[in-house]
Amino acid sequence: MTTYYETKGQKIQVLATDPSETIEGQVWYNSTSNTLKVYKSFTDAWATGGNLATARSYLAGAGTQTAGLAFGGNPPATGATEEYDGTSWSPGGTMGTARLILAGAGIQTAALAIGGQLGPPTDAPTNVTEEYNGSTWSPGGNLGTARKSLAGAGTQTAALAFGGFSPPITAATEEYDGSAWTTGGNLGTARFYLAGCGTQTAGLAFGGTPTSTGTEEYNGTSWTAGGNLGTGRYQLAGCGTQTAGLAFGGSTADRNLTEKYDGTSWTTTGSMNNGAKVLAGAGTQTEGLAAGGNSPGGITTATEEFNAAPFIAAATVTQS
Amino acid sequence: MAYKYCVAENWGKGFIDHSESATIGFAGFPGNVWRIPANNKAANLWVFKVAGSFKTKEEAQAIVDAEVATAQANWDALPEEQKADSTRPTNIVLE
Repeated sequence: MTTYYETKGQKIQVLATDPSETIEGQVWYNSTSNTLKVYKSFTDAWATGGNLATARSYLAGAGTQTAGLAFGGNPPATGATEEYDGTSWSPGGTMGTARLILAGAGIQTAALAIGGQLGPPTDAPTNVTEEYNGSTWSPGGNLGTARKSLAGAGTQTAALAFGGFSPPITAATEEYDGSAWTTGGNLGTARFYLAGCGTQTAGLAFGGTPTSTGTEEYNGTSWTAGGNLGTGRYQLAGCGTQTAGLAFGGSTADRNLTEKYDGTSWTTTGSMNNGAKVLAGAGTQTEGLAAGGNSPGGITTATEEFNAAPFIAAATVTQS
Repeated sequence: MAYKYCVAENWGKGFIDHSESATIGFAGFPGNVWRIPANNKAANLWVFKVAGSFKTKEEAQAIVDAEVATAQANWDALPEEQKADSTRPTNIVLE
């Protein structure tokens, strides 16, 4: 006997809110948003983005996945800046002080370039800070401690600089208020070639040299130990916040390795496709950006975009 | 896992999308060499999309070796102070 379900199929559930538990392929109609939805599981993944115009390593990054900034780097030191729009890079203003192994903070239209190493003939660590307004760089307040291979976090008017090599290896932290740097609490472990993310009052430091899995969390005053990276590495990049951080690339056997932090522990997530070390990072844990660096074949123009798995793919239903 | 190799130039945005990255699992090597899973329909479709050229493992290894040798020569020619901040590119053995 023919049944209702054989001739008409199953009814689609009409729900005011998305179900809390779903199975692959489940379909429902959300009557609040008037959308037909289907659940599909995804994996966090990196995709290729537009290539940098200039291959470079030891650079810094700032901004977001759709409004990113890459500046400085190589050797020899460059002041060149490129702006990303989510698809391609275009030239930005050139820094007044060419340098590499510097740190970045802020967004595309209000960024900071912090410290780093000058070009020949001195090749010396610098305390120079510059501020970007979306088109040009102008001088900011100098770091108290000149250093290279440091990490940065925060915004142009509330930034953090920590770690690095002055020499010697330093644990020093400095806080920027938009015009001057003042001393903050020292890292528990001095290190350089580390990565950082977050804000001035909720910062995150991870990895570094000597090869470290160590993670530290800053509360605006002092650093405390966080959960260790699964794989120790240095010359890595990071982005995100103290409770939603992302670590990727670096000097390790697997340069594609990506880990994400939840405020307590790191877990491995989708690997980069063509990872690098001494690369730039920007964005968030769910929308990250990696640019340039040193891949096994040399200095690269490659850009990759990280996207966390969306929970629900939705199809909008329209009336005609 | 069994792999196969192709050569394809990374043109940037859209070369590998998120879905392809998640389902295929790429590894990039010098010389625009890409390692992909063997006997994988999605991987084969991706190679077609990017106009890639399949290579045997030996051919791919030769390309990688040549690129690494160039990178090593470039590193060797760096001033000593620049060498201090980096490590010499190492040889790569494809799986």
